[in-house]
Amino acid sequence: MRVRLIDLTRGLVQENPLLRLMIGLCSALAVSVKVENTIFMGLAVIFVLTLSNIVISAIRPVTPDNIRIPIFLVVVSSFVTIVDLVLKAYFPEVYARLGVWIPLIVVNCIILGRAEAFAYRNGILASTLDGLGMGAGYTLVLIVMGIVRELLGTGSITMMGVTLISLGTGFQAPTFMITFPGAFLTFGLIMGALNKAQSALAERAARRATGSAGRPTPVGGV
Amino acid sequence: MAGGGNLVVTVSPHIKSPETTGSIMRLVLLGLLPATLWACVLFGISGIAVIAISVITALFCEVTWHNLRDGKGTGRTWFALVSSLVVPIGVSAAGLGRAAPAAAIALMSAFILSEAGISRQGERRHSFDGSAAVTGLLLALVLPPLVPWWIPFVGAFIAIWLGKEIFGGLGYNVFNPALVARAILVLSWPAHLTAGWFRSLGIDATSKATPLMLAKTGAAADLTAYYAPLLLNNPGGCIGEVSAFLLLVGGAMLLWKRVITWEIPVTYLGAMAVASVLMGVDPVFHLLAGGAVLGAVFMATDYVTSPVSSRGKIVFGIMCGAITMLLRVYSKAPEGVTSAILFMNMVTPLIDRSTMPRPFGVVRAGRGVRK
Repeated sequence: MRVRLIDLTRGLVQENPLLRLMIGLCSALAVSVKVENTIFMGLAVIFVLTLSNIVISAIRPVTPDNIRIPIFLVVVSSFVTIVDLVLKAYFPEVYARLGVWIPLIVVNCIILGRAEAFAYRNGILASTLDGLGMGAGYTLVLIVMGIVRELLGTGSITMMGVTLISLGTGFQAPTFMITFPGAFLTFGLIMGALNKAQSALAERAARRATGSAGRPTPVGGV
Repeated sequence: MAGGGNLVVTVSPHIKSPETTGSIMRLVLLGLLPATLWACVLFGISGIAVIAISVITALFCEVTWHNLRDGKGTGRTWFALVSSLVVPIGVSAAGLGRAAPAAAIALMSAFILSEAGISRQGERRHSFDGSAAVTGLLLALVLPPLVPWWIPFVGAFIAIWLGKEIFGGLGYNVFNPALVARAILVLSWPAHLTAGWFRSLGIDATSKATPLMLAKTGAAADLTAYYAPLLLNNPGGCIGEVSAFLLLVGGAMLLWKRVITWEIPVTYLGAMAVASVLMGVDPVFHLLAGGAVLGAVFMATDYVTSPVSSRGKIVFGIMCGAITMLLRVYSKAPEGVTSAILFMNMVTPLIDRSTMPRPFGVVRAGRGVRK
């Protein structure tokens, strides 16, 4: 079995679960009010996604095709239960804030989607890399959204009770940013910025390839 | 033009209307003028400041976005953007809070004027179609007169950049830009947006609350006492709510000039009247109070965000009026015009699709000719 780097990096940008595949959005929009939440949520998703990918890939030979989805769900929910109990035991405050979103990882489209689209069709090592990469892609976007929303919406970023950045007392924070419409706005702007950057890069690459003349076809954007 | 000969060969259409986006927008501005001027008189310098900041910032946002989008004058545009943000902040930090809006206005106007001029190459740098000015003015009219100066400033950025240009500019925006800005401002700074009403001319006992708020809480026993002030010189409310009568005068001018058609304003206000009778509240009061007339005449009729066909407009107006009254009577908020229009903006494509006029001679599906 060949180990390919692309399995790891695919989830970061080009097939980013949130910005490109657009799955797992509801947890991302709900959790990203606070940077601290996004880090814990991201770690939880990386853990569940990677381990469930490994197990699902490993039990491929004995999984009957007709009932694979219930089997995926059993595997995924076992790992979610582990995360749920660990957070509840060691990080009760975080657990209280993340609330229902931790158990809901079971039905997060990213996990089931990668199980069905990747782990069920690929080897264990490739599935591990895919889980790590997709989870990291999800976490990255989540952290960026969390930084934007918490900083603008509350005027400061606080982690574990320590204020990291503050915009000062003169800043009247727009509470819009920590509401749901603010989440959609932040997400849309990040996606737009990524599309813009990618099409600019592609245009530059095309211009270099063709010399200078000729306007390349637009790339990126949905 | 290039040939300079007498024979002009063009493809059809050959009959052209003298109407342009600019001429229509100038008429809309003219329609808003009576109420705006009266508001300036009633609210004085605070009202004038909100209107000026809002309109100038809206124009400024349009020019800067277009410059950056088209890649012309990128350096000077960034310089203007950064300086018009940094200088007012610096001025207020230096303890000269009152000079900050003046600094912002001066910087932005200077940039707008320089962009409106002729460049060294002899071409016009930027042509204004007036749509940004209309958006800026409408935004000012839905703000309380005593808001801090940076509310209309931030609001105009939201309206022009997030409400309009990011969708592709005029004609592509899904929502009415001024109302997008108002909705985001209300969610962001509710304290500033629901206070700062001005008590004008000392007509009434109302000092802090708008007539709609008083009606909502039941504090106003006799609503008929508000008819005349709401019609002529509203004691408390947004800048554009000073006088329903002057707004209607402007609306009548727009109808006469055929800038707007009767469907949306009439069905909007009609549906509101019917709904308020059904809900057992005073219809006259609800038609005159709040942003009903401003919304029905000047905002719901926005070409871009309202249906095209006559039937579609009627559906749009009725739904707007019904939702407005539902929100006014049954929601926590006293006013519902903003949400109603924004919601109906969202369903406009759906209305357009289902009310598409049938071309002459086309048989509707399912009613085919029987053999």
